Amino acid sequence: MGRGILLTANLPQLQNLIKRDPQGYKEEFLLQYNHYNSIRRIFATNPDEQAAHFRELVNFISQVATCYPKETADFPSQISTLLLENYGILSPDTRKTLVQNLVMLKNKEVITSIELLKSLFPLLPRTTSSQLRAFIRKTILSDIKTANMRSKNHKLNRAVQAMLFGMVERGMDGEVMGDKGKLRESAGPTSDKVAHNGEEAMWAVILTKELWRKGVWNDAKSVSILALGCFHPVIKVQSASVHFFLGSDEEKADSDDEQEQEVDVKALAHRREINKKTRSGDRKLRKQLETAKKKKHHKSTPTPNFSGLQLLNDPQTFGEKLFDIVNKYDKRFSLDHKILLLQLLSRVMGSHKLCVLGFYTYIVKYLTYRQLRVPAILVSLAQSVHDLTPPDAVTPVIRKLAHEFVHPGVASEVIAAGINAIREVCRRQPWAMEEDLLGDLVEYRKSRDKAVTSAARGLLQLYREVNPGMLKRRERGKEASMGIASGSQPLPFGHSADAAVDIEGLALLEDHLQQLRDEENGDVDAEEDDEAAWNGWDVDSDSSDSESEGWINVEDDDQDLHISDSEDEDNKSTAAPPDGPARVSTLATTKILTPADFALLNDLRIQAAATAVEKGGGSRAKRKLATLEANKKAMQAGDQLEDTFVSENDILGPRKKAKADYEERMASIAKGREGREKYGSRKGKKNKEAPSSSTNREKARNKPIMMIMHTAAVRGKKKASLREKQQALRRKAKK
Amino acid sequence: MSSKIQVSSVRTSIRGLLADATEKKRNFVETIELQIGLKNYDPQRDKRFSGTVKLPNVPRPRMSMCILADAADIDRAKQIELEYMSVDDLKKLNKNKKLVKKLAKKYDAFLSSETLIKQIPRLLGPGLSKAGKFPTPIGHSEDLSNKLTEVRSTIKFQLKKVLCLGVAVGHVQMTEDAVLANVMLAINFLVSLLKKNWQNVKSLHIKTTMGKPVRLF
Repeated sequence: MGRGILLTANLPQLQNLIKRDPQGYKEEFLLQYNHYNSIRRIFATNPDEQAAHFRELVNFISQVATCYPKETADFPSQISTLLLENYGILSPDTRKTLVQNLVMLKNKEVITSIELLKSLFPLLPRTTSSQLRAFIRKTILSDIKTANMRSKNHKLNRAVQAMLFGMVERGMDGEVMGDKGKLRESAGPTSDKVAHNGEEAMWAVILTKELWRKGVWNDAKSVSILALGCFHPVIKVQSASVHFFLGSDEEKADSDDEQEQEVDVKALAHRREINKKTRSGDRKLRKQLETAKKKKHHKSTPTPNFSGLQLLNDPQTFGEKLFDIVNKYDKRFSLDHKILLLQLLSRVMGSHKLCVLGFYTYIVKYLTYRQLRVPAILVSLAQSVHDLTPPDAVTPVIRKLAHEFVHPGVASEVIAAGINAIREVCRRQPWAMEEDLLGDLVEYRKSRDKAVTSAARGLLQLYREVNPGMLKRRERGKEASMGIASGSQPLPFGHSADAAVDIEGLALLEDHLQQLRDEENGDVDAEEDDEAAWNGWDVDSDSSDSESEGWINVEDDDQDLHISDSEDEDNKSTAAPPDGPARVSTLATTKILTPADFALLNDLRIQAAATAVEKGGGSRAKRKLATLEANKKAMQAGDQLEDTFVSENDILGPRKKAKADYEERMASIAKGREGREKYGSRKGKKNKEAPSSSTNREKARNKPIMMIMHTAAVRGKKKASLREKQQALRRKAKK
Repeated sequence: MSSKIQVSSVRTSIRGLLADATEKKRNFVETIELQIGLKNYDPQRDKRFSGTVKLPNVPRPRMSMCILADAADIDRAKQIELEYMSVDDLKKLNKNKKLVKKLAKKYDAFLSSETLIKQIPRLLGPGLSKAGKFPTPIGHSEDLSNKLTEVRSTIKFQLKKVLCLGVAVGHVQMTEDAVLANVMLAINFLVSLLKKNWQNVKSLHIKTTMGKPVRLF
């Protein structure tokens, strides 16, 4: 192919040639590049002219940019400035081409990810086409994700997080619009700028949340972006950030990823059987299986992830600011939004043990039984209290609660909710209760409503445990009275439980081991025994790399080994009084406990608790036994979710079957109709292959006799002569 | 990595640690620290644990302490030359976060008269509890110096924002046996706190302040 036939206008051909021989076609390229530059200048003033040609040129140059890095050095920046500055006047097609070319340049490593993201981020809020927006969003997410695939790309993350933080921060000085009343968002004509800022911040929040959910980011910096979002003047941004901390939308959109990642191994093998057997097919299958295996392995060891709440920087300031916002814009926010903010505030207060004392005076005004969504408000009240909350701040709230919710003039559900809320608050701060009030509340256990009695009993039970001195003598119960008689004091405010001197139940273990030794007369050396216990653990710790249950199995073996020679001693050890004076076991300082020891210790503790229950130890002993057994089960079955926060159901208590609302009624009606024939006359439609109405003959047959009797047809038969009857009979017989 | 831990090997590593410390004397008494790495532990789901244990031997005798005292306790504090702060001193801080933080930084631990403890959160805000130094209450009937040694020999395991933790378990002027007892109790107690016991432990190291870390597990 000679150079003569080369058409300057045929860009794809030129592109092909350039890729083969960059140096040879340099002049042609420069020609096109100059052309591009001149069109670009025209373009800035009049974008519609030659738009198609311009797109072609841009495509061409970005394709061959790798061949002439020096000449095209400022090409990427020109494109991004064109996009950023003249975005409004460009045609949709041109925008799309420019964005795609930028992404291509990044893929060819002409520009870095940071440069690409810098030009893409500002576009997100400005784009009107949803297709392009989705494309940009996907590009950003996948770009960050791939950059963090092998190991965290801290440099990129830092830059991107700073950008996102800036996007949120830019809108911060706007006025809070609120979502209620006259100053509602989007009402005023001046809200244009604020709305724009909100859009930008919204995108930052969305992207950060998405990356957090995917586990790409899990550091304090991304949390701080969202923490800032909680104070953004635009309500939408605020609520999106608050939802992140409350974790309410975590599970929602997870499914699409799951499907993406999961590889159905069985289906692959099956397909292999059916499809044509080729070597390349085999190879493909092997590869897919390998990646599936890798993914599975990766899944089994998830990186530890602290929740957003725990990673907050300076929670006290965060809490105070949040409270300021709620308090200041009380009138502007809708109830739902306020509850959202209160929910977050109370969780932060509870988990970081903060004192935001204004909260308790603020919340008092919402504590009426007529208040909408009052259960949610009670929940946030209960969550906010912790063992370092000053009792004198909470006491008035409790008094108000009792005054408002717990009196004979309200429904029993209200009373139950009130007592339950008081119980949840007092569980966290028992000193907030007053003695008289407690006496009154506890009286409600004689109520006729089940929810109320169980709530009151719960409160009674709580105080029997934490501070029986506040209860009347006859309400203390056996165990608590005995405790008071023996001089045990409730834990005063601010006291933490005394430091442990050794591990709980270690004395039991020591006794047990001592007895074992006595019995065997030391024919098994202690050191050897130790070795064996570790060995057992060793083996399964190796196998537990592949499956986590392995450990338990072998541990069970260990157990059998111990029990087999100690069945009769267990009885002895229980016969001996376990409630001796507390002594410090020296075991913990002389021996390092093996996994088998811990398993044994747990069993011994359960046994001790069981005997305590049998001897009539009361509900506390029972509960202890239950938790110990639950622990053991949890060890075997994997961990269950620990719920540290209060839910609305805790406040509402066990309820009678609630009255169904309209939707539920309609649903139940529709369910009843399913598979049933329509009501109405079945006349003439029964037992027929093709349903039709009844025939005249049928009608005549079913006509009441009295109507027929006097008709000519019947009377005629009576009057008929014998001959006529014979004729008729014959006619019938012939037929 | 050795996958089991023996008393004898702990003893030899402690011996080595102490020998290194005596070989290269520093101008202060080095502390011996136990560092723990955790594994198979999801901080989002599992409850975050914390526990305090009293060690048989005082690990940090030179821990600086301060008592937030009422009038009677001020007199007692003066007798044993313990630093104190009265209610008026605290009120002067005026809940100023910087000053409270400074106070929290200045001392390693706080005591407080039982009568005052209720006011502490109001007077100081959450600054002290955030630093993990919420004062230990002391009644008028308790012996102050006994309480001091008790606080000094108590160590606290608390998980913060990372999956590793470190506690002081001794200092280099203690005998080998004393360090060993402390280390063992600390390890046993920690492991008993963890839900899956040894399965949750990734690594155990001991080190002196200036020395090299030695892996135990």
